[in-house]
Amino acid sequence: MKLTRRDFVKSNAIAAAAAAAGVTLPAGKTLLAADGDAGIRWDKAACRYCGTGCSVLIGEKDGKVVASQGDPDAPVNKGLNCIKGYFLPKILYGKDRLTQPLLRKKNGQFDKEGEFEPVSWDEALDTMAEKWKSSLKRSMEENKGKPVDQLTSRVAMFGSGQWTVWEGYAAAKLMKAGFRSNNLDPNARHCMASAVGAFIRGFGIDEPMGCYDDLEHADVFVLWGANMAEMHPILWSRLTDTRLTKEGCEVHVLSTYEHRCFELADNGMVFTPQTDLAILNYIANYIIQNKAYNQSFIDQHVQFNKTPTDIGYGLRPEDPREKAAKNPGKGKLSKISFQEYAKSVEPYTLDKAAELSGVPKEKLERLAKVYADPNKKVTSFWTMGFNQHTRGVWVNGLCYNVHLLMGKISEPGNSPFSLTGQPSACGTAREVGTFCHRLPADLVVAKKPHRDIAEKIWKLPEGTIPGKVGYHAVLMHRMMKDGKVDCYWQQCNNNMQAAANTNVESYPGWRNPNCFVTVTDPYPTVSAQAADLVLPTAMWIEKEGAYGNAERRTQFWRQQVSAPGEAKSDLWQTMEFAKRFQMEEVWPAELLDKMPEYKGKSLYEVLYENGEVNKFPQQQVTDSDGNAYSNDEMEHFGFYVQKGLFEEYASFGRGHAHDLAPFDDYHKARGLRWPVVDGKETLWRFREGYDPYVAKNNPDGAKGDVFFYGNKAKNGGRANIITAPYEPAAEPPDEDYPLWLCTGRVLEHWHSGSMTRRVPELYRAVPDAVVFIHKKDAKKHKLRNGQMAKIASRRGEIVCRVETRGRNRVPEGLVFIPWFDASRLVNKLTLDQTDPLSKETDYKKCAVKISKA
Amino acid sequence: MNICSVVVHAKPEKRDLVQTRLEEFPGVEVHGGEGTGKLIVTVEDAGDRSAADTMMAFNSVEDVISSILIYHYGGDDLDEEVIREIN
Repeated sequence: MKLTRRDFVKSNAIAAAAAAAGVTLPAGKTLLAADGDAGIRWDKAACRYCGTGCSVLIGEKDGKVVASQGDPDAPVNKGLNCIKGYFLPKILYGKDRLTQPLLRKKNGQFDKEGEFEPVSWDEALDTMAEKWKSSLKRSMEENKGKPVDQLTSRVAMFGSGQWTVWEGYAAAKLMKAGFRSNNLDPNARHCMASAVGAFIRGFGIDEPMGCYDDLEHADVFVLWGANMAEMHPILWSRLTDTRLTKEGCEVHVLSTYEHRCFELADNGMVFTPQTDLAILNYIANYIIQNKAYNQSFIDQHVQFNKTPTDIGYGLRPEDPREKAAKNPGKGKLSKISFQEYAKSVEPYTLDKAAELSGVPKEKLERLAKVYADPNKKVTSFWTMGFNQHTRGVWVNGLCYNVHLLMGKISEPGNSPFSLTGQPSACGTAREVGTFCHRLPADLVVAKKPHRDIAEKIWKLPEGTIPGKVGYHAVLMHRMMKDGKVDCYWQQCNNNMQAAANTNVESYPGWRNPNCFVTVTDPYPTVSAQAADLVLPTAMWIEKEGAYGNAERRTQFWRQQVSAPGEAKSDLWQTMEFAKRFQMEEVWPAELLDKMPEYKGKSLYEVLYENGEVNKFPQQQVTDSDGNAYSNDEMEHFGFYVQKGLFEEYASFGRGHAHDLAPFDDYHKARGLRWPVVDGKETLWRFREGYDPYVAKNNPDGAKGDVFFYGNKAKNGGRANIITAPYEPAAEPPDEDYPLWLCTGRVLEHWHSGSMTRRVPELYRAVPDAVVFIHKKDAKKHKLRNGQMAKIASRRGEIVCRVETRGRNRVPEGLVFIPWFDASRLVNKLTLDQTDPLSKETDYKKCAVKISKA
Repeated sequence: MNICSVVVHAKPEKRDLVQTRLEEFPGVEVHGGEGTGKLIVTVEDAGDRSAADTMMAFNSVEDVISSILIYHYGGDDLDEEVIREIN
């Protein structure tokens, strides 16, 4: 019998699967795998897609990626990989990959109405710099005589939770310090700003207290608006394993429609949109009525609060709904007693919750009972259902309320857990602080002592960083349309497709004749097509990178292959752009007078050749086997850019409960969960024995006790329970628009589909967005399965194929349309409503009508 | 050419049923996992049908709770290269 290399590869594949599943196979099946992989160089990389943060092994041979597998040494995915992981190497090789800068031109000149023409990097960046210089000049004139906390800016940047850590950090420095503009926001605003708001309000520090180990420790899992089976398949696989192997384990799933998670659900509940607020208050009320709460935990670790109500919907101020709101945008907490809290949830009886939500009483009661059972460990997971919600901060908080009443928090298995949708929503957007109100390590621009810290680390004169919060994602589009933002640079995401209300806000803003829009992307996305200048970029393993996942795990990878053509990484672009500005062009004379040594220097020199970022000399990158790797940015700038940026950034958080390990450690480890203290990662925060910061902040505390040190200065280290009522959605269905519209994702495509739609197999599997509709609703509107239908809202209309079967089973009165499809932009329909506190858009609730196309 | 391995989760009592359903796809072999509910499956290109299309179809197979990719080879064809002979 002849054995070919094919047999050998197959044997390897079987061995890897058996090892990952913990299954023993007959020796013959995997015999050949022991021979080793001749000729393939394997190296780890964090996956490019969701917030799970799986590690994959990339098999490279002769400069090409030829194989990939789930990383068996990775604690997150333990050798597993989801279907999108199969296509990871393929996303680099789409046929329409951009390889040179493109500028809209007429008669050899830039013209907003011109056609795209290929240009050199110099022409691209010079043209862009000229536009930015004139806007900066105008901003400086407008800011004359204003105090630092009143400064505004006409330039804006829209970044990403898919940026590597150093790309986000370099951009934050460029905008906040260099251009003195807080108009920097990431697409993560659309995805987890509400989670952040609730962490800060509840615990005084961002990001989950638990970790993925909770997936094995919990007795009960509750999914609140999270379709993990499709969006977090690896975590779902771990959860499934626990459900099938642990006696008594239960899975409860809540959603506004049935999705694939319902197949495993012991208690599946479909509720009317927005009534999650009422259900959570009912559970709190149930716990109190039955005196099931953990009295000693409450006495020692909890403070009760209320928040202003009737806060509006984050729409433009002239919208009648904003005018009618009593406390638009208000969120200041005031302390209340336990009795007052109990009274506030008292109206949420089982009858009322069932009536509002449409969920049968016995199902609601079964759910309440598992939370109220002191002997059951409960992990609650949520994603966009909670976060993309006009009461997103409230609803996140209501879930913490339930966990805190029971003391079910900060220990293995008892875990309220906010998942993320992007690979570095935590690591880059949140931890680096690329939001319009933030600085690194939970610092904020509005507080002078915080700005002082940043200015000191960045070696800037006092008063450089503006103290006024900049424009958030949704506001940026409004300001572009209104002529308040003249220059806009989008990197590493597709906001023209992602932002709500395309027809009324996004598109008119981008195409405003006074606005110059730059889009950095590897592909000609909807955003790129709506831009004035398109800059081709290096993707994922075409550069050295770092991501931070939803369990606070920071992961690094080395550059595996080179970017095609003239494509350059976002980091290269940001730093090269800075070279085009003299300090005199970006700072007023009085600021520069405070540090005269910066006079005559370029912005690049001040920000990136500051003695810190350029501290580490050029070197050869190697792995532990001695394999050598390129680093194109190090080669170009002449120093180890990524290391310098990371180490400067890490100095913000070290010693302040955001400790990151030294740079080189991450290239060796399969990621480490911060705070990393004395080389040791932290699995559960706020509990002595797991988190070294507890003893540091509360030296007299008991062993194993909890201390919420994020709130130490505010209330002595207690978590905040914050009562908030059920309030209706901004645009419920009515006679004219009788259906709820919910948007979201599907397994095969990641977000706007700019990568996955370019993989033929994924495109074939799910080519177009369809409208999922209940068959009775279809009949009522004279539609049949497979027919084309027109779906219209007050803002626009699109045409989709009708789907009455399929993986999502929607209830009567609601339709679901995914948002990946560039040829059917569902955001033409959605409303640019936000949570007034977090400024995150609610993509889950607006009113539409449907008819035959 | 594409060779993949996949772990397919099924409720233990449905395991055999799921195995039968999976093996109806061309290019699919089930290698074990008896009694665990976790099937070790390889998927290869078969005629016009790519391994990826087959793997994605697993998600709509009845009683499959999840299917998880482990390993993927996507390089050149390997049939010709003999690395060892066993007699």
